[in-house]
Amino acid sequence: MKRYEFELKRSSHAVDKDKKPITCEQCHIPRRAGIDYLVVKSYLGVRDLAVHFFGDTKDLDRRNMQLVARRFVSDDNCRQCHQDLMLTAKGKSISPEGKKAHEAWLGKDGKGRRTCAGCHSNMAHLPKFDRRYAVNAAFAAKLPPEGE
Amino acid sequence: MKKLRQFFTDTLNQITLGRKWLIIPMALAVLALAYFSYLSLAFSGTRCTWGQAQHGEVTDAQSDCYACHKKVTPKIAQDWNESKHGMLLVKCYVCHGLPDGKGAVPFSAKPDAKVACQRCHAPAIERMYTKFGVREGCNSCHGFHTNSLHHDAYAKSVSKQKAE
Ligand code: HEC
Ligand code: HEC
Ligand code: HEC
Ligand code: HEC
Ligand code: HEC
Ligand code: HEC
Ligand code: HEC
Repeated sequence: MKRYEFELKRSSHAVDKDKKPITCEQCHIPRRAGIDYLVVKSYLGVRDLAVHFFGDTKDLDRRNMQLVARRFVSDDNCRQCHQDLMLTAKGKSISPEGKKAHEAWLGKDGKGRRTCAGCHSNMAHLPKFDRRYAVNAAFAAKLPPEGE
Repeated sequence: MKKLRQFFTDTLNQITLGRKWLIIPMALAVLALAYFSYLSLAFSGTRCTWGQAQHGEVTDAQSDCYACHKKVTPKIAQDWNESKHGMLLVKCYVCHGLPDGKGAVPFSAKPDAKVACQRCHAPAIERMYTKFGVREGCNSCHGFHTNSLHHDAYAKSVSKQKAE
């Protein structure tokens, strides 16, 4: 948990527009107090307990955890803060490649089935094996070279 | 007809009245089924990986897969660029085909490894088969279970990994 807070504080998602720190559940727990919330919360909760009591730390393979986490990160959560997909996070107009990708997501152009986190990985965390990617260079530079 | 109805009410009575307790595990089973089917439908395992994305209208830039995919799928593009296939310019469409479907290779997000690789690697695959026998799931050895085929399998072959 410490490691995740540490990484989050150094990521592009440390603070929101009002400089308030962004919390874990803003991305990880579906926001609508509906069936998605209950299902994901209970599933991940039971999973966490199972790992806590029956797992050992070797099971905490971050490659596998990424896949599970990505599967349950809800697009609605990302869109709470990123409403206009034709703008960058800084409010400028987005690159042509981004426009094409987001039009695919919106279903305007083709039918993308990928979720936000499927394309935008390493938004808040950066395990060691993902640091070599050029897209993550700025984030990686803020983390100490040791550690996982 | 009457007999059938009789049979149904009888068995129902047996289940519900005769063994009242049975209804609890049955209800639980139905609930669990509903729970897990919702879970796997709303959050399917493939929902962040590949889909059936189409590229929309064809542009002049369509054939420069790498330039655009460096931004759209930066990790995959970098993995490819650093791999032997990237260095030797075995380009994306050689395996994936062209998005408009006009090339010789049909467009696919998940090309069948056997067909796609056979064309160039038939001798190596033969050698592999004589060594290990025919095995499904190339990823168990070439490591695209967590990465795609683009990653470690190209960066380091299995034998080189062991030497480290
Ligand atoms: C609590 C609000 C909030 C949530 C939730 C949120 N973001 Fe952000 N995001 C921000 C802010 C604020 C920035 C701007 C950071 C900056 O100024 O550099 C940002 C920046 C970004 C960027 C551009 C910077 C970069 O690192 O590439 C991307 C892409 C992005 N967010 C994607 C996502 C995705 C995907 C999700 C869902 C998993 C998400 N965001 C959830 C607030 C949020
Ligand atoms: C098909 C892949 C794909 C999907 C799905 C996708 N994006 Fe993007 N996104 C991109 C690309 C490509 C860019 C442009 C990156 C660039 O110009 O370097 C981008 C840019 C962005 C930016 C601006 C980044 C910046 O530099 O400020 C934000 C914010 C963003 N996306 C959020 C989202 C959110 C939220 C979702 C889910 C609703 C989403 N994206 C879904 C591919 C995708
Ligand atoms: C102008 C930008 C652009 C160019 C050029 C381009 N693509 Fe794409 N490609 C995209 C976008 C956007 C997606 C949508 C990703 C998604 O929704 O998952 C995509 C998705 C894909 C996918 C995954 C499909 C899926 O269902 O997930 C493959 C494979 C692919 N492209 C191959 C190619 C090949 C091969 C070429 C060159 C012949 C190419 N692309 C050229 C933008 C481009
Ligand atoms: C900006 C949204 C966002 C925030 C805030 C966030 N996460 Fe994540 N988290 C993600 C995404 C997206 C993934 C999927 C893996 C990836 O793409 O990097 C993930 C993956 C994970 C994973 C599994 C993968 C790994 O790296 O080990 C854990 C555990 C996790 N998050 C815990 C946390 C904790 C704890 C916090 C709070 C300190 C937090 N997250 C805050 C978006 C977020
Ligand atoms: C040597 C053949 C080969 C080449 C060259 C190649 N790919 Fe792939 N690609 C594959 C195979 C095989 C898969 C399916 C992997 C799997 O099943 O996980 C795949 C999967 C993909 C996917 C979907 C994976 C996912 O998890 O979303 C995308 C997107 C993609 N490739 C894009 C590209 C791009 C862009 C290029 C060029 C920069 C490229 N590929 C070059 C063989 C190739
Ligand atoms: C157009 C021909 C072509 C196709 C199709 C092709 N490859 Fe290759 N591949 C090459 C060439 C050329 C090399 C470099 C050979 C060398 O350096 O000896 C190579 C090298 C490799 C290597 C060795 C990498 C290393 O570091 O030693 C692997 C593994 C490999 N390919 C796997 C695949 C797989 C799996 C597929 C199918 C998805 C595939 N290739 C499809 C041409 C191709
Ligand atoms: C049992 C593990 C195993 C499985 C399964 C496996 N491979 Fe291999 N593969 C190897 C080994 C080991 C080598 C090196 C063989 C040699 O050169 O003697 C190799 C070599 C290769 C090469 C040649 C690389 C080079 O350096 O030229 C290709 C291409 C290849 N495999 C593709 C595939 C494909 C496609 C599949 C799925 C049909 C597959 N492999 C399944 C273990 C495996």
